[in-house]
Amino acid sequence: MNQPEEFNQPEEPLAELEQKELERELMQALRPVAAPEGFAQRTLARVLESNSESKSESNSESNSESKSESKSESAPARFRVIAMRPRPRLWASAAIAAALLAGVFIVEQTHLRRQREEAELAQQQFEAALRITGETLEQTRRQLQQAGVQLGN
Amino acid sequence: MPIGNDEFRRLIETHQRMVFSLALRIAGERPTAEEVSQDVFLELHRSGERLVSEDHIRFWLRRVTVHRATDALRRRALRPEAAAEEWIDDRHSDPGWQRAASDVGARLEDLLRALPEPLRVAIVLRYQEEMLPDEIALLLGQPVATVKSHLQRGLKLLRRKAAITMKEYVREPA
Repeated sequence: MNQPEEFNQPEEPLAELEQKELERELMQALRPVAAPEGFAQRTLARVLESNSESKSESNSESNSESKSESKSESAPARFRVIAMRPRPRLWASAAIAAALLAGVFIVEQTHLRRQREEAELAQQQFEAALRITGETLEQTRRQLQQAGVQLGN
Repeated sequence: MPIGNDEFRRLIETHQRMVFSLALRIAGERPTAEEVSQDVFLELHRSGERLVSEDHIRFWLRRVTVHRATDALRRRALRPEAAAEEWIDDRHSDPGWQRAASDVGARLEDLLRALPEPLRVAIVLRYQEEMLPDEIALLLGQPVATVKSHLQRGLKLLRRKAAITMKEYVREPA
């Protein structure tokens, strides 16, 4: 048994709890307590339950694998295995496929929206450029008129 | 190959006090401690073939119990309202916690529950399991200096709390 070791000296020895006394009391207070009654049985039961679950899972998997490989199995047995096995996987596959479709749809929509936004921006820029060019031409025409230069039309 | 049932039962009977007590003092309540302890033994059953000696098994059990109990404590800390209700229910339903107010051990355990988790773990391993700081450091994968610091701070906090709540432990000025 390891004896208590002083890790810290009390700062105010007259007012503080005695270190060694505290350590002794801690060792007394923290003696291991008994596990609840029936703990071992409950734990063993959980182990057995867990074992039987894993066995049944591995059995069903190995059965389905061997039966899918074997062509000489009787039809009802084969159908039973097929009926038992794929149900959760079918749902999982359907869910994955739906998620993929939704993902593709969202990506496509995002792409289209971005294209639309870019096209609108380009249109606005083009219109602004036209307006500026028109205004510049008009201003030049007025200046030429003021200077007495006659332009056709 | 997993451990046989007879051998596994023997291991449970040998170590259940240690595992349950560690889980109880770290996690702080009996239902959680039992759940944690069962999980630890289930894990032992699965990984038993890799454990070669009794010392190895004890070391493994202590380490896994500390980790699992700490996880349980953190999960409970994430839902403090539920934790408070469970704690109160647990204390009232458990005769072990209804010891007289003068019971020093019970009050020290109460004070221990109020310590921060790393300090509590270090104190429990040091004074329940009677492990040395370097053994605790090895078990927790921490530097020895960290463990010593946790022990120091834990004892200091306990002493302060005890000085306030346990007057009979305070030495009268000369």
